[in-house]
Amino acid sequence: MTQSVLIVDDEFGLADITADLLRDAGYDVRLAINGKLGLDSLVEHPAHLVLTDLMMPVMDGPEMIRRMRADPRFAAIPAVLMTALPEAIPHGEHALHDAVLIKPFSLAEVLAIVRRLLPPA
Amino acid sequence: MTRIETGIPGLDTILNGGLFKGGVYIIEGPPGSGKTILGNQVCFHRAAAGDSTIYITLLAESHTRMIAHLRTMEFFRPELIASAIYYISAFKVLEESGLDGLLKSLQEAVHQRKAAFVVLDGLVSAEEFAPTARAYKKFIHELQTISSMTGCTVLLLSSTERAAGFRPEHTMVDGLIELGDTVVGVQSLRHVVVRKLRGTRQLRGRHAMEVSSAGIKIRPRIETLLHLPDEDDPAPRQMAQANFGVIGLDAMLRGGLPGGSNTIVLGPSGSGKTMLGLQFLSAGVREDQIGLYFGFYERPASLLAKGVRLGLGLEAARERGVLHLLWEPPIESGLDAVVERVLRAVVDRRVTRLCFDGLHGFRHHAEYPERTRAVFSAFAAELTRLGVTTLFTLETGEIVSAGIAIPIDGVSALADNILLLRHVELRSQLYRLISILKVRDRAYDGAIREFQITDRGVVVADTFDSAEQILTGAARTITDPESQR
Repeated sequence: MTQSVLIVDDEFGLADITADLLRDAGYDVRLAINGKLGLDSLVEHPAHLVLTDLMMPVMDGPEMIRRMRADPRFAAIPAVLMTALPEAIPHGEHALHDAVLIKPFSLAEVLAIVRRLLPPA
Repeated sequence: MTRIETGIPGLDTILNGGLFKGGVYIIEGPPGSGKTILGNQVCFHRAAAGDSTIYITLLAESHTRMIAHLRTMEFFRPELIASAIYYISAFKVLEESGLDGLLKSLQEAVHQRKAAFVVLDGLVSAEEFAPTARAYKKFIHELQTISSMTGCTVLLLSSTERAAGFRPEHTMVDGLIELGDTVVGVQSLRHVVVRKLRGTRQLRGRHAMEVSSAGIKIRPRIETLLHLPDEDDPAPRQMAQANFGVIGLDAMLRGGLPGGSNTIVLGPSGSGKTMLGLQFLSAGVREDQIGLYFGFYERPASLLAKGVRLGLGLEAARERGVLHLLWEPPIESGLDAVVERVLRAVVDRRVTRLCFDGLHGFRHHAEYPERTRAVFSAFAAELTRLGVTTLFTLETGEIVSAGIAIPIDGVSALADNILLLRHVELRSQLYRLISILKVRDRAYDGAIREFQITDRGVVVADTFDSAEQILTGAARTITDPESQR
């Protein structure tokens, strides 16, 4: 079965390139532009991994991950926070993500993280 | 109406106090003119002041890259990001749901984050996505409604790659600030112009703008800041005369220069202008009048050495804190920066005597030489207002010349007093001469006298004894029969 990845980012550019890369690597990729639309997407199209930006309109990344963890349907999905601002990453009990990608990241870094969190089925 | 400070040095001054809370302002300029830095700098300032701010981009430029650039700026405070400064991109929203979607998203973000300040970077994209000109105007109008209802101040950053001139949105917003970059000679000069400002009067015209790691700094044109002389001004208060401590010269001046006046000392290179200035300051410090020497050419160390040779006691005065020496290298720092620096030193150090050595250097600092006269006028008037007696030196061209050409147009008419120093050749010897061309509202001795620089300071002798010495400086003697043939 093809593994699927959801990328949530309000920004044009990096998300699209990351999506192309992951598609080339054989993943099924969906995109959403904020946390709320990301959660909506998970309901309709379950994903095996979520990559989400930190700051976004409507619902930010940490809030989306918090809601995923609170929902038995999505609680086990690994989530990666992507940000250009390591200072803004939640710490301690608020850190519900599984990994962090500091922007700008290389495509090799994304692939490495995705492969680590999503071993080939 | 409440004002909010932008925190950009100089900008609030030219905005006459800042932006109006709940106003919508356009910042326009070509790529690279500093719009993004300006928008971010204001966000950081507002965030530090306790406002919730949002920086929305409509451009393809990524936040990642922008933040990487911002990290090099001194105003960047990462702890404010995500809490008080929120970066979001609305490009996709705009692409997918147009201007209505953008407005909705903006309104939600302002509401959700209780934002008091928003920057929308990339107004051009909004215009590109507008199906008609009317739809675009409607968008600006709706934006204004949101801002006035929520009290959230909005800056719209717009690139002027497209056709210049007045555009419909200009008439709608509360203010229009233009950033520019012009090449004058070999210098590239940034500037800012407030084209429009509702509800208050801005300082009009171009003001110099600097971008450094400290962020943006605007230097309001000094002549627009200072009080310009006006016919209704009260007569200047009477102040004690400022003597030179040189018997012959003080006698010519009937005691000294009028207190609080400004004097131009004209003369060619090497005629003793700087010496006379140091002598003037030295006479002041003897009476505990605080002196400031400001020059472009001689560094403090070499001036002090000069003072030692003349026995002026400058070193001791400097140690006592009654004499200050400032040096400005003659590079591109701009007139406004020079004047601001001198006036600040005058106020901070309670200076009452100033020697400004090199009005000609001042001219080299003028990006637009035609400004020199206006700046000089405002500067001199401000010094008088501050009760400072000032000596401005001004170099004339020829070393030994029959004529006097004043190198800066119109400046001499603005000076209260003019002293003229010259070299005169006489029997293969060079002499220095001093004469007074003008003392405002006061009688003086207009005779020409010999001026010497000795190890006891400046000495002005009796009237030069050759009767043929005339103001043109071409001296000759009739007692020598050889020269009559």
